[in-house]
Parts: sequence; C-alpha cells; structure tokens
Amino acid sequence: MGQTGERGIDVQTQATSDFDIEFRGVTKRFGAVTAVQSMDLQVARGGFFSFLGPSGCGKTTSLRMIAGFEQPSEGDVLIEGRSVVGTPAHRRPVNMVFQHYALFPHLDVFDNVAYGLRQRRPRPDRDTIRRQVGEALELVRLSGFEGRRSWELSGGQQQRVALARALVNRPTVLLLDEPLAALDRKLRRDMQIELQTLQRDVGITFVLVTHDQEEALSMSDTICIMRDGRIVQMGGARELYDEPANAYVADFVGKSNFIAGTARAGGGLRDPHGRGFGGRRPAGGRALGEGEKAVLAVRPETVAILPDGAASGGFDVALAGRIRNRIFLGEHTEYLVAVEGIGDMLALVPKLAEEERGSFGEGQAVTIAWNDRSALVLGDD
Amino acid sequence: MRLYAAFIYLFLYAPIALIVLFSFNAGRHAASFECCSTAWYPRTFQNTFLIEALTNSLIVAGTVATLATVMGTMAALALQRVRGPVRVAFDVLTYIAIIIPGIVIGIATLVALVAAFDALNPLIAALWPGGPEGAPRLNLGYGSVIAAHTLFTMALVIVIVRARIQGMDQSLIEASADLYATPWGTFRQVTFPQILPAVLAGFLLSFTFSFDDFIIAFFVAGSKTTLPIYIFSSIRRGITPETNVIATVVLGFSLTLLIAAQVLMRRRARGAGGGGAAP
Repeated sequence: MGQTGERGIDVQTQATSDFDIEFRGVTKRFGAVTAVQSMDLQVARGGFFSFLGPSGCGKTTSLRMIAGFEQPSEGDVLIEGRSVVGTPAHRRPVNMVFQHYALFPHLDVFDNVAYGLRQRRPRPDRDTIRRQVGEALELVRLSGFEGRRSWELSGGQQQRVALARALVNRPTVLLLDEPLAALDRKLRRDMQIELQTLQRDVGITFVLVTHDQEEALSMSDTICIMRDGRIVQMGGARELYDEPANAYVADFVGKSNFIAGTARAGGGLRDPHGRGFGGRRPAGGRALGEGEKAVLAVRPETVAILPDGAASGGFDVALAGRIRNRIFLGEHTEYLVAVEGIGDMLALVPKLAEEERGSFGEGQAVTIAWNDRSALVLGDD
Repeated sequence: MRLYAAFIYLFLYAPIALIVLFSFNAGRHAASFECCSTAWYPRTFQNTFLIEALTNSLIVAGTVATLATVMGTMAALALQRVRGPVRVAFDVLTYIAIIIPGIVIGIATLVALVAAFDALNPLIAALWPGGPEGAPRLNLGYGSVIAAHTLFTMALVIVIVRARIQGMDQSLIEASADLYATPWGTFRQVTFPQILPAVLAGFLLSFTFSFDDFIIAFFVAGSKTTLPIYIFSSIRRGITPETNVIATVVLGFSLTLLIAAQVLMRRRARGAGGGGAAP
C-alpha cells in the first residue's frame, strides 16, 4: 500500500518491486495515430536506461507517460511496483530534464533549483533549502552561480542547472528527454561522461530518450530500441551491436553493409545471383527457413581491403571491387568500394592496417574480404 | 531621414507641449497665450462640477480596468485550453467586440439597458416587500457605463494576455508540475509571473480607454457626468484656459501612472534576481 509522504507525493512504505518502472501492455493513441503499441517493459533499479529510435517511434510518448504528462489509452504503468495510471505529474516521484531545459526565466539559478523543495508540505526551512540547493549545485559544479538568470548561462550550464533542479528532489527516477541535443559536439561528449558519472554517484535510476545512437551506447546499461511504437530489441550496448535482432537494429546501431538475398537451410545466405555467403544467426534468433527473405550484415570495421590480385590472406570471402571514394577521418580511413553484383560497401581501415598494407587511391582495383564469423544473417522484419 | 523623424515627433508632440504651456496662461482665452501665471490651476480645482466629473471618471475607469483585467485574464487562460469550433467562435466574438465602433456599442448598450430596465422595474416594484413606493429603480448611471466599457476593454485584455500566453514556453508549465507544484501552485508561481506584464498592460490600457472615452459614456451615463463629457459641454460654452489645465493634469496623471508601472516592473525583475550570491 502506498501512502502520502512528507512532500505530499505518493511514496512506497516498502519497495514491492525490483523494477523502478514497469509497462504492462501499454498502448497510447492520439486520435487515429497509435504512438505506442502494447508495450511491455521493465526498468531495473539504479540503472541507466535509454529509449533509442528515430523521431516518431514513440520514445518521447513513453517517457511522458512515466512523467505523468500523458496517460496510457490501455495498459498499466507502474513506478516502484505501484500503478500510477491516473496519478497527475505533480504527485509522481520522478523528475525530468527537459529537452530545452525549461528553466524558469523569472527565477534565478537558486530559486530554480529550490523550486521542487519549496513545493513540499510542510515546507522545509530556509537553511535546509539553502544547504540542499548548495549541495545540488556543487554536484553539477555550478557553485557561485546562484544569482544568475538562465539567459546569462551557456547551454551547458543551463543543462547542469536543469539537472540540479531535478536531482535536488532525490527522485526515484530521473527522466531525460534528449538532454544533449541542443549542445555542440564537444560539449556533448563531456556531458555524456558527466551524466554517466553522476548517475553512478547518486545511484538514481536514469531513463534517457535519444535519437543519437552514440549517446545511448556510450551511457546506458540497457538500451531499448523502438520503431513505430514497438520495442524492436532491448539489451546492453555490446549485445545490440554484436547480436542485432534484425536488419533495422544492425542499421540503427553502428553502421553495416547489407547484402540482400534469401536464407539457406544450412545457414548463410544466397544472393540474387546465386552466390552463397556464410554467416551466423545472432544469439537468441530463431532459425530461418530455406528461401526466407534475409540480409547479410557485415560491419565495416570487419571488412579488409587487399591489393588487387593479392592472396586472399585466409579470409573466407574475397570479392573484386574498385575504390569509389575515401574519407580520411584521422584514426581511420573510410573507403567506399564498388563491388560487382552487390553495390557499394563500406570498409573502415584503421591506421595500423593502412601502415602495413598501404593505402589505396580512388579508382584503384582492390579485393574486399571478410570472414564468415563477422557476418550475420538477419531477418528482414 | 533623421530630419524626417524629427518632423514626425514635432507633429506628434508639439500640440501636447503647447497645451501644457497654455495651461499657464494669464489671459482669459484658451487659444491666445499671455505669459505667465498659474492662476488657472486653483481656479480649476475650485470648480466643483469639474471635480465631480473627474471623480466619476476615476471611479468608472478604476472599476472598469479592474473588472476587465480580472475577467479578461481568466477568459484568456480558459480559452487557451479550448480547441476547435468553440475556440474559433470565441475568437471571432472577441475581435468583433474590439472592431465594433464605439458609437454602435453606445447605442446598442443604451437600447438594451433601457429595454431591460423597462421590463425589470415593474417586476421589482411588484415583488418588493415594502410595497411599490419604496422599491429601487434600475437606472442609467455608474453601472451602465462600467458595463459598456468593460464589454469592450475585456476583449482588449483577452487579446493582449492571450498573445503572451501563446508566446510562453509550455514546457515551463510541465516543468512546474514535474517539480511537484499543484495546478494552483503552477499558476501562482509560473504562469502568473510570466503573464504579469501583459496583465498590467491590459489594466493600463483599459483604464486609459475608459478614462478618455466620450462616445459610449455620452449614451449610457444617464445623469452622471464623466470628465470627457464635462469637457465637451464646457467647450460648447466657450473654452477657457481651464480646459488646458485639465488636459495638463490628466497628462501628468497618465505619465506618472506609466512611469510608476515601469519602475515597479523593473524593481520586481531586479529584486527577484538578487536573491542569491553574486558570482
């Protein structure tokens, strides 16, 4: 049973669930549009969880249903094992960092951070508020900025005020809606590390929404990939990268070369020209039947480029191609190779390999090679 | 270009400067200036008819501005949540209230009120416990002017406040709710401070409109005389420097009000910002 706690928020007297957040068959419709389709989900306590997907996949709607800004059309949303359907946002023990921070422009940094504390009943005394706000600002390294207004702060500083304003309330779950989207690249990298460190320090469950795969991969313990209101795959960064459930995930998480064709009963894939390719199924994937539509996915960093006519060097697959384009990216070079009967394939050649085998010029005939164990046979769904 | 601008300002403000100067007239005619005396000031303020008209105008304008601001702000907040045809209907009605000429509002209000009073007065007289002789009679006066002015100025307030609400970041409301503020708490701590400049602007505009309206008041004021009505009738009797004095006093009053509002708003902004330690 829940009871009303000191802040006037419904809190649990005892945690009745190992999951901070649970979705049970949640569907959300906006008129004729279904944003989220019968979704089941569990977010473990104390982890860093991410919703990843393109815009319109339902990830933001899912987050807003946790926050209480939207109510599900069907199904149940649970926070700490207790249904919160019908509970308004101001009575939920979660706090959110908004995409554009939503700092109150008529209040300074101190009053912004103190806002949540001042809503508690009974209201904490001045010294308590001052101390807790001070601690929160110290946590995000903004001590001394108490008197500033939001427009006097840089994007990164506003971001950190928004974090402090949410964390000062010690929520069960911190929700982050594309929190880094408005920052420039360098700052985004720094904030990724900072967010991850912060999450470990405070031990609060973080739920992040993002369309940026790099952001999700670098920070999260668990990533939930969504498409068209449904969960496509859920798992750790490594699992999603190495064992993508289908072509959509393989394409969305990292880069992949795809060769379309049909599955072979004995494993591997046959392309439209009748050529056979070896490849394995991702862990946990069902076996594909003979002739079923499938793609062969090969990560560009597992593709090697050899001089034309050289020995295949022990690779399982070796195909003739021609360099179409090369992009020097510092730590590695990206080659686009036109391969007959397949199309363009991407190969990432690290500096070390380039030093050993030499680099290749545009228009040069080459051999492109990979091993069967690097190739995945994926369903088209 | 700069000269052009100077001419525009000269054209705008020279008459106003002139009327201030002419209020210090020593002579007896409003339009011919004899330097210089403040004699007309005490004479003006000893005019009891004028003082009564001024008092009436202040009472009416103050009530109108208060009513229009409160109701207009509430209407703007409520309309923000309405969608579809209902919203369109209210929008159209609001704008109609603004674009209808004052003379039409005046006549329409007069006809409607007189018709209503004619219907209601016998009814009240019949129902009055003390008999028909002691029954109060509804009549034109403060109430009718206030009603007619509020009708128009409320629409102004709705438009001004709505523009401000629409320009406001809606995620601020969600952020406030997310930080445990109740709906009333969110209104008090976020929405209202955000729309306050628009609310104040609406109040000042309503006050000014009501204070200097002649047409509508002329129709519905009944036996009450407001300042514009008094000035109009005194012009027909021949203008004295008294009129210039009234204009100057009204001008000074309006400017003081505006400057006070400005200072107040600036102090508010600074006061809220100085809460914490300066970096």
